[in-house]
Amino acid sequence: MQMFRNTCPRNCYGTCSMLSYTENGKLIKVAGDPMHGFTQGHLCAKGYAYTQYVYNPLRLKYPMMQTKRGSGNWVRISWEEAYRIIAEKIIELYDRYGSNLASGYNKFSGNLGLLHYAVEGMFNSIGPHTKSFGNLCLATGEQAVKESFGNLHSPVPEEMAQSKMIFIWGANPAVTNIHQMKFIYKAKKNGGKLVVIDPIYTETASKADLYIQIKPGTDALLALGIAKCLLGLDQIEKTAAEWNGWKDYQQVLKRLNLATVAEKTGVSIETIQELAALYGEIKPVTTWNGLGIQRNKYGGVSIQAINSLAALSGNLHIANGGVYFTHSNYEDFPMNLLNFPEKKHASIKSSRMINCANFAMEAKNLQDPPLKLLWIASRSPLSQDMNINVWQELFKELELIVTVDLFMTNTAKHSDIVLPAASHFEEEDLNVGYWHHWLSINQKAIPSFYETKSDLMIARELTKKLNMLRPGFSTFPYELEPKDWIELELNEKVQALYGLKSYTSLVDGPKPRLANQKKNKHFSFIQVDDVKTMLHSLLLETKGEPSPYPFRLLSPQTLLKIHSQFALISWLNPKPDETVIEINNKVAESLGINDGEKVKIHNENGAIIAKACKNQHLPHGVVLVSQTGENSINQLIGSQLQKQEELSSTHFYDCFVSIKSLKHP
Amino acid sequence: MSKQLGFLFNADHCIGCTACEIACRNENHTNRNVRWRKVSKSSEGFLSLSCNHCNSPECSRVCPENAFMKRHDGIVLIDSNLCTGCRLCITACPYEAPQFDYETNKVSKCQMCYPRQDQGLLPACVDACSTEALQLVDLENFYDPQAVSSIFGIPDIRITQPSIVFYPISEKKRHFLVERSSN
Amino acid sequence: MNMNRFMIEKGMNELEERFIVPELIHDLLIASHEGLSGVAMKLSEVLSVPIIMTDSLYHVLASSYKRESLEIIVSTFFENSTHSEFFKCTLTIDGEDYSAYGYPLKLSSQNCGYLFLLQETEGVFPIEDYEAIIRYGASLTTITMKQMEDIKKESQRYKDAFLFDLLYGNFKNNDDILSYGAIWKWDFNQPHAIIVLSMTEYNPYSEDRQLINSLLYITEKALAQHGLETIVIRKQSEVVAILPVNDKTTFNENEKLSDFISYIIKQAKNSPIGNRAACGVGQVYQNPSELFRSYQEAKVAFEIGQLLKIEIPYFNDLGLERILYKHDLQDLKEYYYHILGPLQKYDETQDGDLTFTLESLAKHQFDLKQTSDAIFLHRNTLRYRIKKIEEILEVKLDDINNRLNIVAALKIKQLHKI
Repeated sequence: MQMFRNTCPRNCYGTCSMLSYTENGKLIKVAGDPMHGFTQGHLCAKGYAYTQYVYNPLRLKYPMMQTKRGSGNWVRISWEEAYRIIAEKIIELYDRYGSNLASGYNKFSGNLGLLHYAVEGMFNSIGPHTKSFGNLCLATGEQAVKESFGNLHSPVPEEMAQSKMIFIWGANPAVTNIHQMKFIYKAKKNGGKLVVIDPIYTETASKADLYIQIKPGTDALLALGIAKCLLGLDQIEKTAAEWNGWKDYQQVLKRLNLATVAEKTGVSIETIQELAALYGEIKPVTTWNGLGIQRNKYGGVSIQAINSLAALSGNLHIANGGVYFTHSNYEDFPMNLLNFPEKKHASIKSSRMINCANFAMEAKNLQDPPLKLLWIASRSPLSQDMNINVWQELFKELELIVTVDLFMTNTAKHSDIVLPAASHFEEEDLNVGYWHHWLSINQKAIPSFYETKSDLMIARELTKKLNMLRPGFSTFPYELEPKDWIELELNEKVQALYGLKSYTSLVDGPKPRLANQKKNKHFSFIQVDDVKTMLHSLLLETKGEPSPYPFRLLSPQTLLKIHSQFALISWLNPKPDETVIEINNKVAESLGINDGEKVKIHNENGAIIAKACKNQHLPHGVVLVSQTGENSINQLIGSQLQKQEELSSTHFYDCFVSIKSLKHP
Repeated sequence: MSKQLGFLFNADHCIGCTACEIACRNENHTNRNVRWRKVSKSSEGFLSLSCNHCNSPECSRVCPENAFMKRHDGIVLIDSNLCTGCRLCITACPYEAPQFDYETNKVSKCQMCYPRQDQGLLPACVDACSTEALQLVDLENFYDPQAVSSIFGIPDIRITQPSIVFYPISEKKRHFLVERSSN
Repeated sequence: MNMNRFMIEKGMNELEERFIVPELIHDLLIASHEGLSGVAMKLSEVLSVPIIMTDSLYHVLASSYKRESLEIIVSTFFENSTHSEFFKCTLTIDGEDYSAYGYPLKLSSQNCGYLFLLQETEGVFPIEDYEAIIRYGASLTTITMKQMEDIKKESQRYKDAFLFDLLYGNFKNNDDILSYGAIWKWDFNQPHAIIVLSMTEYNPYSEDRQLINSLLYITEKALAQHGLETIVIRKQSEVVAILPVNDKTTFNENEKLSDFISYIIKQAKNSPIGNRAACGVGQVYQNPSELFRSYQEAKVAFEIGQLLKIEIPYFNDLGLERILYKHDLQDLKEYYYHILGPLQKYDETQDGDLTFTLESLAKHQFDLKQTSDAIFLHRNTLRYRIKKIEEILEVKLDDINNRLNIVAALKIKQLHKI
């Protein structure tokens, strides 16, 4: 039996280092890596299911082409053929439009390994093209954290174990970040308390010493309310006056009406005072801004209000206090593939950038030249993006759609060419987390599954093909091996940061970032205008006609999938993927809906059928829907982005729907 | 000194992540419908159960083939060479521990990872539990006044005397939304 | 001759001169090679009084009477007048009272038995004069007891391992059991059955742990007294007896066996176990590799016996209970409420006790006379009540199927404490 070090590359807080055991080139078993200080030798259920994932009979084995798109009439083709068709199309489009702007890609977080930026590198190597930018998931929060602190930082999660009070706002680590729970329990064992604030009584909420149910989207108001009480009690940070916007913030708090806060948030004045007492009297308090609170239009304000509360209470700069969100340690790295220099074009200065949060709409409207070739890797927008209807329209405009994936996803089904991707056991990579501060390697543990290839290998071979057909078309250094790219990432600065001597140090085990993150003493309180706008908007919500779509749709991550990933792994999801909608008991009764019954969820964007499930703890105005690959709930989520220049993530939770029992038409 | 290996399940710590259940599959490569360990959720909380390696195993009593045995450390095993797939043990066990394997037409069940334990390793499920909700103890030498012999969702333990003890869920404070009964 | 050698010889001469070991002590030590009875005989010879050694429960271990079994009752205690450890008491042997002196046997300050000196004649007994030699005799007795215990423990370890494998069906082959059994002279060619004895509400973290040892002792003793060659071991909270089935223990005459078990339970009642001793009896198996079933059956019978309040439950005699105890509880509850729910509701709302009446009736095979006698109810009143029950349940009680349903529901109630 041989052992290798791998790293789970999923878009997840864990970025778990894992040990894989092979026998005769077959993956036999996976285990957590005890050398990893954050996971401490554990994996999650999805991690342990990789032995089944890798050899799943549903995995794509060969490059395939569909003669009529969407027909399901797939024909196996050779890699050589696939490269030739794609390369010829790219070159033909270049000749037709005089640049590569008609060719573009849409790639996101299916695999976060640094070598997967080969897709970006490959496109950069052919000169100006059409690319997506931004972050669907956390751009809103990232912006807000930067507003408050000047940079995106998040403390070392292991330190949470020493906290005396942990406030989790809109995160559910028991489902999405299970390794954090042991540090929370450790804090509890040492006498610390866990407080969870969430509209949903989540698995984490059920473990909390104190759970506060809040109306969705009102976290900013609650944070301001608590801060007002703190100010009243005079339990505030002494240096607060030195920070930006102190006077305005003080004014905002003074003018705030607690009764309004209680009414809008659904949290009683007594409870607000109880929370203020906890924030004020106990030190250190850890605050965790969950991704959930920034999935609506008040997300940015909420995060800034919560940051301001943590600052005001004097927990910002003390040990084991601070505010958690996510960090950007990958910025320490040269990111040679992502930042691969764009090949110069005679007249076009740079690529066309499309905000990924509104990709389909913007891509569809492109002119001079229109988008004609789309390369999709590391995601399935037809399951996962918003505006799925617009995506379907965009697809009609495209001449060639290439999807690289491990499975026949919803998106792959509507592509022309599907290229089989390697799993992370079949490639080499380097992984940095965005929650913990560890760096780990991913070794090639087993030979490729059938004809699968990594994104980097595809980039190398396709650019080689392009240059064969049209010498000098690409500047991609296709002779470089994965190991070379990894070594390039581990430059002197990185080596010093992680105490590495070389590549091999990581083969011996993952390494923590040694230097403390640049903790800014600088802080900016939430701005008075932002609060005013929010208050104004919140007050407007209750006025006017009753909405035809009375239920706010929340669609958080489920335990045994990451969006649609893992849906086909029978150990985890033995039953066929089914959309489930949770509805408050009383609401369900008033609508005549029983448990297990099929209901129609609909709004202006579309309708889907889901199985009803009563949940006595759900707010009356909220429904909870699970994410699936097929029949995705995201069909109902349209674009709400007003200002397109704004760097924002998708406000998935600003979606309203209506529910109808199918029994009485 | 006699020994009875058993599980210690902390219902307050279990987050229902099912890592134990899947780690078991990863270790033992059980066939599709065979679940040696099962995590379940009820309104009271989560439970993670496998074979409880009972002090008085009913599976063993009813087996016409005498296919069961109990190791001196208390682990109850079924010898698949002797099993004819009659499934009497499945009906006798209150904990759904013996599982019928439609591919082999035999019954199999949790063996507390004895091959791992013989190497000094913990069972895969216990090893996978990141919150220490599932632990391994020698019940002959375990005493904790906080521990109880049964909790919600556990079938009657009197006849079988399962080798599992529990920490119950502690009381917690909740402020749910007070809904106005308008619509 | 060098200096060293000289010194040693000189030393030895001095030793002989100065440290005289009394002949008495030496004789006692030699006598201890013969075990406890050797010590008892020698002590008795030296002191010219009969000596009896017992365990902490006053069971005779050895005596200077040349008798195989001897029973004594220790009754009246007199105030301890001196500061010595002697106490005065009365021993009853074969119905005759003797006044005697007792001396506690202690092993690392734990009481492990007594040494009794019988005063056969009236008159003053110079007990103080004997104290030194008695103390020595007592120490010798304890050491001998300890040695016996150690030897027993050592062989017990292998024995326990074998019996564990036997009781859990780990032997798949009869020959293995026969040859292992032969080591301890156990003949597994004959049929066996297993009896499990334990205590109700056993708590492993209390003195119950010790009490099971007493139960083991009582059982061993009882078996010996009944001349039964039975293997008995302690297993955690249980005493397990592997009983060869023969003329003396035939299951065809349950009374014989029950008499014997009753005797053990009675003995336990007189000990600190009190009325907490309980038992269960498995079926007879010819095949030793199937004996594990009898063991598990005995434990099932034990638990069901507790619930149904059967003093000596035989697995063999259990009927419907065997199926009901392990059936899904929710299903059973639903069945119970389906059959008897209306009656229970009537009792609750009308403050009646018709359920009790029906229980009594079922207990007495639906015989009116027996029931009315048993619960002191006039026959006509009983008839009226039965009519009422039939009305409430909307069934006829003379229908055998209805009776079956009712009996099953009542058993569910008992088994699961609904």
